[in-house]
Amino acid sequence: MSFQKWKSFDFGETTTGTESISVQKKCNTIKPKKRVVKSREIPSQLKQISFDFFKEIVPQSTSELVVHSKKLQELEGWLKTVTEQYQYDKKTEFLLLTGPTGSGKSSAIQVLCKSLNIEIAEWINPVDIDFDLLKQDSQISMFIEFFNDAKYCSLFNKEGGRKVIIVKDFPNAFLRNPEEFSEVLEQIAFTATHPVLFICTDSNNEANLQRLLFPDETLIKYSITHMSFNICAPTLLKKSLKRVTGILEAHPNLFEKPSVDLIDLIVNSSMGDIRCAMNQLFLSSLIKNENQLSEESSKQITSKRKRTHSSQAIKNMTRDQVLGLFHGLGKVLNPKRIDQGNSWRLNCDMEKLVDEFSIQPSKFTSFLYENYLKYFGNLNDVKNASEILSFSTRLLDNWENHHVLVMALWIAVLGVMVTNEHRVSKWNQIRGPKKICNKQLSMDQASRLHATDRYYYYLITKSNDHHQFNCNF
Amino acid sequence: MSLLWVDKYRPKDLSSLDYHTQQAKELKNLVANSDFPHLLLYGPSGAGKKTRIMCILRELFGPGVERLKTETVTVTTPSNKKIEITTVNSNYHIEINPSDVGIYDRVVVMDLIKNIAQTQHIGSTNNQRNFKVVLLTEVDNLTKDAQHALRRTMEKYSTNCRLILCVTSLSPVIPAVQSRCLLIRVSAPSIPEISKILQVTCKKEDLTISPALAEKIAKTVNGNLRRALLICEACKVENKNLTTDREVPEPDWKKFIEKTANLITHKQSIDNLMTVREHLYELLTNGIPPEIILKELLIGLLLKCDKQIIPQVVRDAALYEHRMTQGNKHIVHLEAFVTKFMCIYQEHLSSLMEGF
Repeated sequence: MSFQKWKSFDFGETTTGTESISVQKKCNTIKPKKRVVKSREIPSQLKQISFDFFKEIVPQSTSELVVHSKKLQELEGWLKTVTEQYQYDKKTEFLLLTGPTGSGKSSAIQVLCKSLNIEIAEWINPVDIDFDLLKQDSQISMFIEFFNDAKYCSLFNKEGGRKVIIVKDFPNAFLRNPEEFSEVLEQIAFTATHPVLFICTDSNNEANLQRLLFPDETLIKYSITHMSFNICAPTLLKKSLKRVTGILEAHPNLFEKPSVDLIDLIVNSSMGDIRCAMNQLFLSSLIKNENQLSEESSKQITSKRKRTHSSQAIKNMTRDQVLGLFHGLGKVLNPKRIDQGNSWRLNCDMEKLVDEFSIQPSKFTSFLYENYLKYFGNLNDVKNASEILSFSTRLLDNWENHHVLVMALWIAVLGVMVTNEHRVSKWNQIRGPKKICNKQLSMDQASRLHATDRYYYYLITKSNDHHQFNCNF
Repeated sequence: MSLLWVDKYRPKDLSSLDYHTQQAKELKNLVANSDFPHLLLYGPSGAGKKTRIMCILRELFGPGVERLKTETVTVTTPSNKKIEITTVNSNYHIEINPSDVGIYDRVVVMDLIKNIAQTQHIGSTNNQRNFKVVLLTEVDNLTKDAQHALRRTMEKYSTNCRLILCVTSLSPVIPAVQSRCLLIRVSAPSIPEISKILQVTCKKEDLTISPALAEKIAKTVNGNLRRALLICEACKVENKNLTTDREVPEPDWKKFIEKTANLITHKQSIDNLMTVREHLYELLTNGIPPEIILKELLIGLLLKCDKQIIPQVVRDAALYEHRMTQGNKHIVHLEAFVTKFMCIYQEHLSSLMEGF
């Protein structure tokens, strides 16, 4: 395998001399028509195929995107106003775009910018560090420099002056030092560059960029507009898969037409990730892969079309299932047991469950506390569970150390699951934790008195304008 | 609107205090010297800590301290969050309740006091005091972080700023802060003292209160003079004849807790527990301190308990009270106690039934 080939595969596009130069410059102004769906693992034989699947399927118009039309309008509106505003009001506008992986954030922007004739400059982290570079400036100063360079529009742009800057790769120095990022933001905000778009992927692990780099204060301070994308809706996903099927049909020598069932299966198992869905479609419709997948899957679908089964069918390509909060709560509140002779164990992947919610242990435990009573059938069980919850809450108050918090979450989850021996299985509405905020009274005499003494004050002033405890029950 | 009796007849200077007269004399001597240390006044609520502090301030700066105004100050936290806190201040002192702002109390303690302490006091004509006084209330609710910050502030700015701290219980205050202050205990007045004050106050209002009623009120308030005066005034509003056979009004939240205790002993079930939880939430949202809820609840429950299970119940109450003081999600611990009690009670009842 030659070096050239590897390169051409990695960049998705035809390798030319200019491309490699621009990579060395680290920050290249890319054409809007860049690859969006990144290829992950493609069998070696494919490299000989002249047909670049992932380049072909890049959405070309707004109708081909998998983003909800309302969201798209919102984004388009923002792009329009800020690029126009920039002409006379030299203030840097920011937008933070978040959403789960494969929800079409980047491609939405690429397509919209293309249709609105807006130039794009994207920051790309420098990849190869050679010795010259080590002597050069740090990544952060390069980042700032990139913004200075990006001020100027391409000379070839006829429209003139319409440009946005996209930051998707954040220099990793910022991950270690979030304060530095806000300093840089401060600089950018005053140097009046083109509108800046930050793209962040939602993730549940500790490296959540949005949480780290864009806390609420930062959003308010720099008046950053925040838009969040949801996972792709199944209907849109299906539509898009069908569109791609049309493209595949044009190459009957390479692909066979995927069945309707297979598309359903992919829609179900990809968890709303368009990138994942495309990969699955690509692999499963390759002619050489037929015996591996299609037969097995088609057998299963005819009998049952449940999600659990579908994930078995194309196991090798599905995404990890992401547990929602309510799903997770349901698992904890309705523990399933597997009997094994005299003993039993819980039928649940605890490790994954706790891991999923380890970002905000106190939120999950307060949800648990608010709802656990309804799922218990025996007072003695409740006693044990409440004792454990009380202990866990005690640990949660020690908020300085994150490991202790995760430990407390473990205790609460396991405690509630194990102690629930007489489970009541009926549908209950999940309630959110109650917030106890002391009502702020105006600065009059009543509020100066202690809450326990206010009753007398109301007796003296004969006012009825206060909360009265109803003692008749 | 007319002032409450509590405010109207609050002693204005140290010589007119009704009880702890010896202590008042000592305080007067202390203040008469040009220099005095940071003070920490502790004692149960309604014992007159705040009254004494105001007397001391008056002694120091003259009647100017009574011209109070409230002000809202904005402090910025390190994470650029803006928080507001209400202060009550005169030209000579500033009163802050740092625990109003929750976990941001450390910033308030550091920034606000620093600002006050750094501005030199421009001496007025009638006194030579060259320091300002910062009065911090409910210091026992401060986080440990804030208390440590307070310790440094106390050392650094002791030249032009004196702190007066006011706490109900000394135990949550870290020893480092305690040792930097002169501790002054303001104990609750005794029953005869309270009843005497009630009678004197009524006389000033041109009313006569029967000594027996005054004593009856004094007995119910548990040494809380403020509450005693409020009750007395509430009685007067209802009917001017303050005779012996008058009923002493009980606050509704107290009755509410009592009823809740009845509910717990009446039936032990999960449905019942959910009702109890609603009640506890109602009490907490109306500002009744969780410690008091637990205490009243325990008293209510113990009345219904058999002697055999009392030790166990009290032990559990102590455990959950301890956990409660450590943290800030009180409802979980309160409910854990209630469930525990329900189980103990139910078990005891069934064991009694077996005996027959």
